[in-house]
Amino acid sequence: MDMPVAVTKAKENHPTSLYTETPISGKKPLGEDVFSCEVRNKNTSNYSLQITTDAYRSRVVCRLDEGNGTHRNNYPDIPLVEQRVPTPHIHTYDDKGRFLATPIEHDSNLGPMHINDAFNLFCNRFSILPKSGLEKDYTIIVAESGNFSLPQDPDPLNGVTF
Amino acid sequence: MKEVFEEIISAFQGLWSVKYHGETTIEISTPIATTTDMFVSVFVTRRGRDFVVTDGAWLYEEVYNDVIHTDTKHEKILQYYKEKFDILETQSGNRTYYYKKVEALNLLPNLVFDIANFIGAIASTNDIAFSADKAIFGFKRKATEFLKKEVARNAEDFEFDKPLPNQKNGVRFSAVQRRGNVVSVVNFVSGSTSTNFVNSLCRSKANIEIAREQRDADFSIGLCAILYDDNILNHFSSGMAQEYLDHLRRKEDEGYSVFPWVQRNSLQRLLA
Repeated sequence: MDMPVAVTKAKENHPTSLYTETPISGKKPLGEDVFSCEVRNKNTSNYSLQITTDAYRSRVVCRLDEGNGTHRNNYPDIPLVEQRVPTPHIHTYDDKGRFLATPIEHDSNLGPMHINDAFNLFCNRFSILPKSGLEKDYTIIVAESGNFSLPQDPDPLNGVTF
Repeated sequence: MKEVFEEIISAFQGLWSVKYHGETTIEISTPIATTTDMFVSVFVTRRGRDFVVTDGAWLYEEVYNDVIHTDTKHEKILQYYKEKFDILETQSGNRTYYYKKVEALNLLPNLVFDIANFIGAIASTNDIAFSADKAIFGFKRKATEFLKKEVARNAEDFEFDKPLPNQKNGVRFSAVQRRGNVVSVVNFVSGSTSTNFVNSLCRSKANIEIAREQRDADFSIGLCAILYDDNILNHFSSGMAQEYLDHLRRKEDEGYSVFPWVQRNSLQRLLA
């Protein structure tokens, strides 16, 4: 995959989000495989990284979510308390073909997982390499129209008057 | 039975969790769940002497839903729950925040309870489409144009939204093609929410099963196909639609041919 990944454009159906997608090539491609990243509300604490392919009818192969709520793996054979999967988490398919979320080990006292750390983890987990082949080249840049200082805002209620 | 009760209470208690956002705001994930497979989160912060409990604009931002319906019925439901729970709202940065506030700490749980139930109710009822689904309508138009312009040999090659021949009041199919004594059917599948998509898919599956049961001296059933809107799948947060599609794919050798829009040329070759 080409590096660095630059997340800079407004998303078509969610203009408040920044979005990018870039093709992935490989020795054994699933089909036309694409990596994409969405940064919601231009806040780098709130994002999704995913791989999609035209080989799957659902398109989504896997997704990492941070910042957007607690997912419920709502299946009757999963005990209730284990159905709760807070972010950050990764969605992958289990052997029954269910698109389950599994938590990522992360100390929530440190705040949200930084997007650079998430990007590194995602690339390692799903064997995505930079074209250079060097791990040090994993880089994701989130910016809007030349503004390279987007916040990783710890408090989503900052500035809201109640 | 005490241990039964304790097992249940323990499981429910295990559904609570907290995240710290800066110095003064916490996000509480509650045991209240939505029909869109999310647990409801509320945000608690301080403003002066008051505790504020809010949805953090997550309803507005469609965190719980694929899309927010703004038709009259959903608007009435929102107003109903706002009044019942005494919910206030404020705008900030073009977002709508629903909230309640109180000074006394011992009354704060009441607000968490109200806001969490409010969010659960609105997010779940928003998953119901009361009016015509624009995504279904849009995809139907696109797929119809494709069959008319790219596949049909002539203007009479396909009939749209019609039952099988000889069945005036039978089940309707998105497209019916008759070539000699062979009749092929195509159903279009889409939906602006995963629930609508799955409903559209299940109805199409049932329609095709009905078609394959037909015994008519005038014709035999040829291709039974489902053409679905794969672009819309990217907008769904839950994997429900995916599961149903996978199920159908496993049944393809039982007479279903399932094509995503991106592979419509494969369908074109079979119908040409």
